[in-house]
Amino acid sequence: MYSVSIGITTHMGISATDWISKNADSLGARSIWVGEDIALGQETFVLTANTLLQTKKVRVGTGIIPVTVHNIGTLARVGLTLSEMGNGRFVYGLGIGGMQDLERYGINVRKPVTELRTTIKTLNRLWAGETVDAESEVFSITNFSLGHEGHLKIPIFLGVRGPQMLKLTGEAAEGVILSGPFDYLKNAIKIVDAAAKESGRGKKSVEKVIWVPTIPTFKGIKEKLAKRVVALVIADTPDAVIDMLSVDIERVEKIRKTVAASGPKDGAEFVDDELLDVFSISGSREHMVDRFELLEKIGATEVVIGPPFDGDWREATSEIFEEVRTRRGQA
Amino acid sequence: MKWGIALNVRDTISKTVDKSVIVDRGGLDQIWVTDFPALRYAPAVTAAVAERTSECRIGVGLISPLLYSSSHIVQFMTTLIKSHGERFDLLLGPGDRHALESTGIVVSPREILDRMKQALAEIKEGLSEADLEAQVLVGAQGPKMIEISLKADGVLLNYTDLEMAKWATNQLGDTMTDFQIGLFPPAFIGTCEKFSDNLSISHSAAMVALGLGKVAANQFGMSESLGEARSLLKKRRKIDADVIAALGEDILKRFGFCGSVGQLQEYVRKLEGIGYTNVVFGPPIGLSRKGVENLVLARTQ
Repeated sequence: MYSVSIGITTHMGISATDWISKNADSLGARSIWVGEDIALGQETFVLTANTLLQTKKVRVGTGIIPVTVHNIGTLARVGLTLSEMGNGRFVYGLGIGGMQDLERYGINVRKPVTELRTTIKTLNRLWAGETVDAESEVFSITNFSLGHEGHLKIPIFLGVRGPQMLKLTGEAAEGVILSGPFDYLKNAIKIVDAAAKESGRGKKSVEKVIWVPTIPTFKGIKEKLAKRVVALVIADTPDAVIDMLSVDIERVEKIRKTVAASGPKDGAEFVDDELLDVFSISGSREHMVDRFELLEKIGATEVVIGPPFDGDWREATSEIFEEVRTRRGQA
Repeated sequence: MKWGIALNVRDTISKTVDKSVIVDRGGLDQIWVTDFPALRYAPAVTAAVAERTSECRIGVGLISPLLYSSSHIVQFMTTLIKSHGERFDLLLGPGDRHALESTGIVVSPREILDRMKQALAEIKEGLSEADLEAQVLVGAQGPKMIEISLKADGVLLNYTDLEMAKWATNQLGDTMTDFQIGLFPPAFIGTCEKFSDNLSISHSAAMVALGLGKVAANQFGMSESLGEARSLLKKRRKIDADVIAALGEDILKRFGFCGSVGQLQEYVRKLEGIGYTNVVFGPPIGLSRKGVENLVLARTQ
């Protein structure tokens, strides 16, 4: 049975993230995922710490931390700190970082899959208590150890997109955080499962968390906003993913050009109901939960609600959880 | 005189929080949550400390701008203040060179000074733009870092010796009236007939002494002993009994406090007498619950 979780981002206000932290346990959320809008809003590790401190049952994960913009020693220390704070409830969501973010930091990674693989291996060795000499394109550590007691195992979830990265997830991670249109997600889950099987791990050993824009238009969020969000998502989706979809390609191109020329508001004019359904989970609470169930059928183990949080989002979030409970006979 | 203590050196978060509660209830003014080479990430531990304390101010640091960008530092300070109220300060300093090198951060002395100056300006500006109340202090030993600290809200100096403390105030010259001048020495309260017999305080004092720059070392006639100890450290790759012996009792005493509650109270009175406004007691005192309780006792008795 799939789980339902809540996603927050560092750009959200403290009153909103506090409300989610304080209500997640009673709503029945499996996890709270903390997305980092790089350099914007709340500092991601302090927000994650605050979220762990305000909750008792839910799992709290970063979703995701770009490993290339932080020192590897800091990443290891943060992992240990938050894991200890959460008493086993912390999950480390990691990724290589978006191309635009890397450019902004002047970071050029020639072999991103190797970089992420080396990072995961190094972190696991440090948490296991080893003294490590290691280097990659981005980092170098010498005779470095955390000096903690015991062997620590922190679940790593990767926020990745391309086929090689998805294979790496199947081989080396405890979970994957996926985002994208339905057909892409179906294919991505297949790749992860195949890689897990090839590595001698069962497909159940890798959790599949789906985090796409969820826009409950039944509680005050206007459809215009939903279309604007989808226009932005379409503009940001790589060609390789678009090519996998059976959508109106001309319309997609028109949206991309318009977003690039005059922004998502104008691009939203060309987003129709079909595209809205392909790139987001929106509409009535019943329709949204129908979509969650479809995701479960293709192998998703967890679905994340939000953001954008707009309109009467607190009530909408509660109602979506209620709908899930009702269908499971738990209401 | 504001009294503070450094925590989060090697403790688990729950132990750090328990000690913070003792400090808070015991009436100390500040808790400084240390960062790398401390094991745990200070800003996250600070959030946990803030949640369980209410009276004392909480300092984050020492934080190295060689390890974190200015925008990252402003971001975590802002998040802490907005989540837990205006009770946070920041201590900025380059950090332990050997520890930084082990994580791939190798920077020349010139660059260290440039990065410190730039980070201090950017962080002060960032906090001011966000309209947030937080004191930014600089950790210093030698004249160059002391000079940089003049652009901060205060300085915390890494020694105990009163002669060195007076020398530092001379280096500072006339400061603004609200400029904080403090010491941040390793400290131990207990029986301490011979300093070097106590391994924990000797180790901490040696670590601080070995970081002393050329100018200050020459000024106080320590160059030879420091040179010898540093050569040994390079070979051994750790501070051991021989490195400590090479420094000698006289040098160790200048970089750490080791004595009874009464001696500590007397020492603080002397510091106050020469114009110091803050004293933060560093490890090993915060490593044990007993050490924390003794410090509270010294403050309140």
